[in-house]
Amino acid sequence: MKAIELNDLDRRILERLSVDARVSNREIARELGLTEGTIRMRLKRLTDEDAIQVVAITNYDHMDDPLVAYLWIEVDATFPVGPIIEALVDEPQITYVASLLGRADIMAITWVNDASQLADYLHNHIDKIPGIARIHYELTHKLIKHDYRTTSIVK
Amino acid sequence: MAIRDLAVRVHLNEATVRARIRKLEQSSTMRVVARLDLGAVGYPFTALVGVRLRGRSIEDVCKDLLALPEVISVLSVIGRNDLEIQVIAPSLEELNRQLTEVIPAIDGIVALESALAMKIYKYVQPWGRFDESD
Repeated sequence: MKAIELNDLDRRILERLSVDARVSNREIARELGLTEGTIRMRLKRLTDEDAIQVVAITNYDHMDDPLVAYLWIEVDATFPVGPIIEALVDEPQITYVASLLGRADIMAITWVNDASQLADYLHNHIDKIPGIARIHYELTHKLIKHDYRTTSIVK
Repeated sequence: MAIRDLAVRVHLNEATVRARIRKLEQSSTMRVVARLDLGAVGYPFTALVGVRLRGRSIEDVCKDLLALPEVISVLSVIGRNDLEIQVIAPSLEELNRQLTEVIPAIDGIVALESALAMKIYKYVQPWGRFDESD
């Protein structure tokens, strides 16, 4: 993804939308003292460039015992990495997948309610993906910060 | 997704779905927000960094880490590391500076274990703390 220029106005619009994306263009325009057309034009550019994404976010503090699990995955070198990554991306319970340089071959994130649920999930779903040699996992016991305002938009 | 399509998907009528969403929003359980692409805003590099601490509380170290805008995620974990953090950067040079100068200089951090995310294939992560961005 190539970087795009964001001016001050873009940043102010985005700041407003990062708390509530259902606010109307007219309302943003009123708050920032601009015309609706200006807001619409700036937003169209950001959407056209795939720079923003509108999503529903759940409040971590309202979830029942959420445990984020980092899965550090090592791949059997005789298997191609591509299909393993595809299989992980297809897993609805996996929320993040990246290929790595260092620490492991792939890192994936999932979240569970407890350690035994994680063990079951790994056993029933992830271990079955051909080519995975080893999974080393880390369980979080506290989310101190996770900035939901940024993401990597994958097409 | 339109509320009408969502209603079909979950086999409920539109008014019910609308009411449930309103309730989730009013109780601050859910929010519909716009998220920015890290690459588009000039931060194409992400490092996943395990942090080990000694001689200083997690709270105090986190206070210093949270003061860095490049640190977008901090989790305390059970295992070999005490924290798992995500660090973003506009260039490899800047990432190198964060990982070799800025973060190791924080009092209480005794070891870092870093990996570079070469390519991110999925980033859904539909959760977050709401107070941070208010």
